[in-house]
Amino acid sequence: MEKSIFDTVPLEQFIILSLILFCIGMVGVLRRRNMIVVFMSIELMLNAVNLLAVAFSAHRGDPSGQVFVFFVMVVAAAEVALGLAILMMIYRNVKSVDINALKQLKW
Amino acid sequence: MYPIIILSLAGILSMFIGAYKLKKLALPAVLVATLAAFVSNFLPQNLHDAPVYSGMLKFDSFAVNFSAVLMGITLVILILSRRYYRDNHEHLGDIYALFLFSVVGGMIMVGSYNLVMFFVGLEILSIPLYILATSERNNLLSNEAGLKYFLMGSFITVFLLLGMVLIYGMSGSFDFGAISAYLSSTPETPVLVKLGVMLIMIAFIFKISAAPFHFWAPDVYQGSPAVIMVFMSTVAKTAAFGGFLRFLTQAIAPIGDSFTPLLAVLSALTITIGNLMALNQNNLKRLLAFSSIANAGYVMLALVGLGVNSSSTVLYYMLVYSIANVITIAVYLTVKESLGSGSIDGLKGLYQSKPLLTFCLVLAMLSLAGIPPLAGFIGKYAVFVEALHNGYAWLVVLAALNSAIGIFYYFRVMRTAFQNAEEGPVTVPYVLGYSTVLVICTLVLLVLGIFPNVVLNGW
Repeated sequence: MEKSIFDTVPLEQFIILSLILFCIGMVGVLRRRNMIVVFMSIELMLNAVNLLAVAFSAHRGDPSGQVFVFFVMVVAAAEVALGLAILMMIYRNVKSVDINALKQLKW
Repeated sequence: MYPIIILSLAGILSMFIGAYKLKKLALPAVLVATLAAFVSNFLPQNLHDAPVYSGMLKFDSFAVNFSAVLMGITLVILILSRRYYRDNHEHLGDIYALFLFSVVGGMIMVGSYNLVMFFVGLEILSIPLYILATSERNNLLSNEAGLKYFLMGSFITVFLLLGMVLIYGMSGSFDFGAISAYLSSTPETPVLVKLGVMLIMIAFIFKISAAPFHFWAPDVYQGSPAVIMVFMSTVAKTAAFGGFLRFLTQAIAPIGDSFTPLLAVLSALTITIGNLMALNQNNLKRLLAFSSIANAGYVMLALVGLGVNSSSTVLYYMLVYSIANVITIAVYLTVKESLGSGSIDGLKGLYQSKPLLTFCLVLAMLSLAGIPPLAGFIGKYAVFVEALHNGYAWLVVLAALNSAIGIFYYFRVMRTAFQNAEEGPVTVPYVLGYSTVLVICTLVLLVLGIFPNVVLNGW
């Protein structure tokens, strides 16, 4: 059988890489004000989780982690479709994709 | 699982009804399907004590009872929506379909026996709610509510996923039974599993809008259409509680005790914040949002003292709270229809023109405040007893003090209803669609107060 990357790189490095990607995404969500960039950052976080799931799955030789990744992808696609629809609707109403464009609800 | 199948098919049917412009048919079809699903839920063939579908779902009495409550509340809200959407909403079929899909998600969540199913159920529950919150396309408040809910919801979902993957990585399975077996066989719990449980807890705390992740709730509840708001604060919350209780008791039962101190602190924080912030609100929907935050904190008391009766206590409390919430919103909609005001002051003069409507409102408020002998008091008493079992006396004292603060703002709403309006008696006509709901809910609330054992010790 051919050697895969999961045989040569230890699991810890995958965990660290995923957590780094996850944190980059989190900073993006918290810091950026453009809604499209926020969506992209959430996608980055999701994919960090997917990478971790695949790494665990390959490490254990158990396919259920990879099946889980498919579920996550489907749900992520649904969420992005919906998010972009909401974005379009808001853009038509206020002509801006800035998160702070809508600020009527407070206290 | 019959209800899941029936409601999924009914949702698809409702979308076809919308597509073929048969709007008049949409509500009767949806109501009949929900009733059929409600009845089929109690069939003996529906009850399985062993996991079904390759261990994905487990429809034991816990899941059946929670599903029954979810569908019951949905039924009432659907009746409420008949009048609410009287102006011939152009996507009526889709809106009802989304309601049904959301309930299906909730039922999958409370019946899940696998982390994958838990996640899928949570998403089926949430995604329709994002759409429903934005369903008033030209209303900027509704847009903002939907955007906030969607952004925060999908952000928190990622934490949930990370938590699940970490638990999977350590235990090697997504199955609740396998995770539980792994946890009881390892003497020292790995730190990654603890982190994973913590991350899943974050998602749960967000979904029930408990502190410190409660900021979205007032904004989203105020901005969303009223019928959607009441659906979010009742059905979605009950489903979230059911799902997390399921996870807590079936998957991580061996290490569940190590998280009770955290839950206790969060519960204390939630009750205090919810009650204090509610004091200063003028918008009735916003007041209900803070009251729902406070009530989520009370229910968390039952999770703190996790025992044999916790499931029935949570279910009873959520049922009573939901019914009181539906009554308040029905009164609010009746008043708003004739006066057009969403503030608490709009209730002025209600007693002069409609004493019966005021009676319903008073009953709901007293129940939410937890005044004996109403159902709300019995629910609060039951959760306090649960927390005392586990020795959290300080928490119960704090919660009882907070109930006193709660009385203050619930009574303010009642007092406003009894005040005379400045511009003379206002005329609020009875509205058939809302009155039906009011009669049903008031009766159920009274019955639950007199015979709490119907739910409390039902299983």
